[in-house]
Amino acid sequence: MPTLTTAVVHGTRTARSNYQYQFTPKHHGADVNAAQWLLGLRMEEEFSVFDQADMHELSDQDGNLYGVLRGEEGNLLYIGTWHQQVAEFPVARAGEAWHGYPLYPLVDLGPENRRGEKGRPAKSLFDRMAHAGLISRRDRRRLLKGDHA
Amino acid sequence: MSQNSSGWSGKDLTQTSIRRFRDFDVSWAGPGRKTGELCFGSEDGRILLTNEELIPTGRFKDSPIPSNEAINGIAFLNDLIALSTRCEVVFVSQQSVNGKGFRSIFPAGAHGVIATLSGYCVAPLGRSGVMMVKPSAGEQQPVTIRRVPNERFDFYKVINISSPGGELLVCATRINGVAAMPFPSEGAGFVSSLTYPGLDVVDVCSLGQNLQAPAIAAVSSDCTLILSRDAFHDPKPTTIKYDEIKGTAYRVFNYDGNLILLTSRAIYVLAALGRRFLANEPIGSRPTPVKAVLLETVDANLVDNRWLLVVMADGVSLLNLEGLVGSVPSAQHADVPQDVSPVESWPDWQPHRTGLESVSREMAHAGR
Repeated sequence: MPTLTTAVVHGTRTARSNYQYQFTPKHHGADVNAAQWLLGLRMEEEFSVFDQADMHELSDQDGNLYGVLRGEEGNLLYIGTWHQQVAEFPVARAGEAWHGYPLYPLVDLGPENRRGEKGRPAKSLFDRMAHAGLISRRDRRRLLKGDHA
Repeated sequence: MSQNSSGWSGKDLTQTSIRRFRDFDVSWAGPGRKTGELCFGSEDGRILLTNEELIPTGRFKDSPIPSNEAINGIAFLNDLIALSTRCEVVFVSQQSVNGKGFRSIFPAGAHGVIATLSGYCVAPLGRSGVMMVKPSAGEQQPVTIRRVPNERFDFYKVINISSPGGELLVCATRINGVAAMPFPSEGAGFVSSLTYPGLDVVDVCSLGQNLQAPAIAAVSSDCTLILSRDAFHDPKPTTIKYDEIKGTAYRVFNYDGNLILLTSRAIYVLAALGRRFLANEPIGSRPTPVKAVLLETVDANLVDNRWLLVVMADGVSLLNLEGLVGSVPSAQHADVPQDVSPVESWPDWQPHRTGLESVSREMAHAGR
């Protein structure tokens, strides 16, 4: 989808929870330091990642949702400009539209006081993605390690 | 099951046994501390050592990984074990220091970790750069991060090559292609990279140590192979693709001049391709014997130049390299009709050379 200058709210809500979804400029070209969705990804595809995440209740304990996009042959597609294959949708306040971004597979170098930080999404989320048939067992094993699938 | 894509008879790998360890889901497998020892990392951050019969010979009682994340790399260097996960790089002493073992933790994820010929531990930290540690006695391990300032570089895999010109790190850097840097270097050093639009380099292997120049093979996620006789100076590497090779590429290895390519579909053996390339044979215009072994591989590593230790979705398998490549016709038969012809391309290679910046960090020390 093209670079955005204002947020665009999708016309369809998620099938399960009736969540509204918005495409934000921050993750569509406006902020080069932020995670960016692939330019060639259609709005419908980005929304489908969110819709599937909601459909299968792929949420962590804080309520954030996580999703992936599968190709026609069942392979996992890249969704972000850093070859990300998993998207994170931080929990939205009640009544507000959700948004999301591609999630880099490694914990970046950052403050030194976060020893033992867990990866995102949690390992159990990959189990649930595999159980839901969104990723294969092999994909699960590779994504757990931060590898491409 | 096995399949010979070119129709010759080969060793039937359907008999390949898949081993599962009790209460230990393998995420990484590779060489251990000595010849004949295999090492395994688990999905919850534990280590298991076995012999070549895959019989356990030792293990850590507890996970040395604070996040308990899946191990994606293990390297042994002197007294240290270096481990990497998507969340951290951890150094653990094998022997106690003053009667007490120690553990140092670096709080950034890596795609793996290696021990270099000159005694460093090196870990590709993705877009955070390359981590280098020269292990020292005691608990404090000084860490240096080399990274490309103001540019996006994704350090995904790294290997160490020795050539008469010195030691090198050669990296698979996704859209930045193949990147080489002198190592160790005075100051921050520089990186020399080569890419073209659409390239996504996910792994690289050496075509031999101590050759006249650092020759490498690299693979793009779409299974395009890149072969270079000099990772530092070759401006137009040979670029070939085989239509018969399917799937998403994960790894590439060199065994005795044969290239072994791991993809989401199979393990492919490209007979003598590396050897023929180094001998200046026209590999782009002549067929190559290619064998496909259909296994659902997750990852693999060479061990002792004897084994291909494969992690699969439901266990591990130890393939004898001689057996794996032995059924492929030898190089002198490379032009028999049933062999597979590559498609050679001449992409618009874009060389890039840039200075690196160096950042020093301390590792957090934690008791074992």
